[in-house]
Amino acid sequence: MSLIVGILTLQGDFSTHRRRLEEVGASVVLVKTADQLRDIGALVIPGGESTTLIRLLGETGLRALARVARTKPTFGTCAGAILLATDVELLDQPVLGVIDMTIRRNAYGRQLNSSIRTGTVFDVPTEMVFIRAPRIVRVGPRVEIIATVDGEPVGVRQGRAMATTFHPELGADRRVHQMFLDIVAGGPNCRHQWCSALLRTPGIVVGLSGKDGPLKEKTVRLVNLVRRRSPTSPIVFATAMWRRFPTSGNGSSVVSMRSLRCGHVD
Amino acid sequence: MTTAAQATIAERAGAAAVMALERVPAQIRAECGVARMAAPGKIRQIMAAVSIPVMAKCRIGHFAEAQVLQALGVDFIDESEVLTPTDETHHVDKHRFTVPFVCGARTLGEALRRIAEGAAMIRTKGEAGTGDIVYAVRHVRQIMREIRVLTALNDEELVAKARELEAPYELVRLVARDKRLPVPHFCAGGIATPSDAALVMQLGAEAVFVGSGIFMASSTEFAPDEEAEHRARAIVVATAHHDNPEMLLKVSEDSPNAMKGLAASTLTESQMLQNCGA
Repeated sequence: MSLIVGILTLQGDFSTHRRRLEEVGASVVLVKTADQLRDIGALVIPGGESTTLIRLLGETGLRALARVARTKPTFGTCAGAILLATDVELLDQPVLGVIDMTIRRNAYGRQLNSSIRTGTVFDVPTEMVFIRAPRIVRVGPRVEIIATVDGEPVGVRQGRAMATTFHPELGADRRVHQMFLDIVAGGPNCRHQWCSALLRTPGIVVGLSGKDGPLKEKTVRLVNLVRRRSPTSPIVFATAMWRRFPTSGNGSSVVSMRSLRCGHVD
Repeated sequence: MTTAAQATIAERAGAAAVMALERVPAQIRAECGVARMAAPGKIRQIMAAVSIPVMAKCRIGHFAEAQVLQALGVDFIDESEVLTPTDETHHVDKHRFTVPFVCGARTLGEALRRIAEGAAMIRTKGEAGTGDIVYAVRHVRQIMREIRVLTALNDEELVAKARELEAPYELVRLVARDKRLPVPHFCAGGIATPSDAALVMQLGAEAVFVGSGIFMASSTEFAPDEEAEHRARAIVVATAHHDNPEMLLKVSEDSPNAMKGLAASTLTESQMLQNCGA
């Protein structure tokens, strides 16, 4: 059973988000109106122009959007990130106020200053596409930084809301979308989801691995073997290695005890 | 549009970007003379007035105008047949620039030739400045149909087709594989009402350009600001909700006046802007 994610399709690059979400196994619902917003369980707000989006939503739309963002898993990229913030620097525009951060619009300049840069998503190097990007200039204490470029936050998460100032839908890397799906699948609070995954499913394999070297390779082989033979067994890692395994969509749970994060696909 | 005030109207109405011009196509048509890139001062004013991307036009083949526009820092350049062509044979080599370009096309072959030169976006040419959508519709349908035809051909037939289209084989193959252009495909040229915008969106365009249709009352007179604002808003909403007839009805009622326009059928071959640059 695949997860259902809504995408706001009033303006912006919703079609690329749709492709990425479908690639990681989600079913996509296109959403434009306040009524449609009321019916969805998770939402992606694509990149585009935040001014245009606010205009097109209108008051009713913005209220409906705020309700979704505050209660359901929501992922905003670029313009979407701007909407999710609590403050937009120097500008008085409506915000959903879901992620406690201050964001500066078009911080790097115009189209000519757009760039493709290498940053890290957690510790993993990732190619990131920045287009007339905003910049996160302040994050609140409860905000988790999930991606950085040169030490600056470009991806953040608070509760079940996620935001990136770059466009993961325009890169080849699917991990960011996978991360969002993990939040969607995770239930009310993803941090504790690993408990229920472990308790629910029999046949647990615990994997230990060193940073590099033969032990790591053995772990990789073991994990792949387990996934083939026993697709629904949760695999528990004692380190952050879990992130290196893209979820295959075949039902295996990959969790990490040490970092208390979990990746889980039903 | 031609002024910062108009740009602000567009931004407030919900436009995703604005195009800075010396004169809108309807004026160019009416006033004749040579139509060139807009004065940098005017483009700067528009850039300062809005937070959304600003595009500007250069003449076909005029790579120096393009260089000036890139130095100015515009977000997109439109190498436009609406301005008086500079080069009757060669378009700008857009790969040499870092700023992205949009070019006009009437057929798939034309679109692919522009993309091969480096265009990052294609718009249908339509017949700009007339408020008559007939050619825009023809061009959108033409390109969509030609794409559909490609998907039915096998590899050898695609080679022959590429020669027929006078377009690079690799691009033809890409289009056949993906069933779409490799760049965004917008519609322009003669859109004047909310229904016009909805029509071309339903025909397959990903977004619309509207100029004279919002800001002109006739070929030479600007519409009053308030009316332009209504029209702009109506067309923005119609484009976003192009598949919702109830919404279309509502915005059509809110914005009853449209630009007077000029029937494209009354134009002679030489008056057609679309014939420039194939």
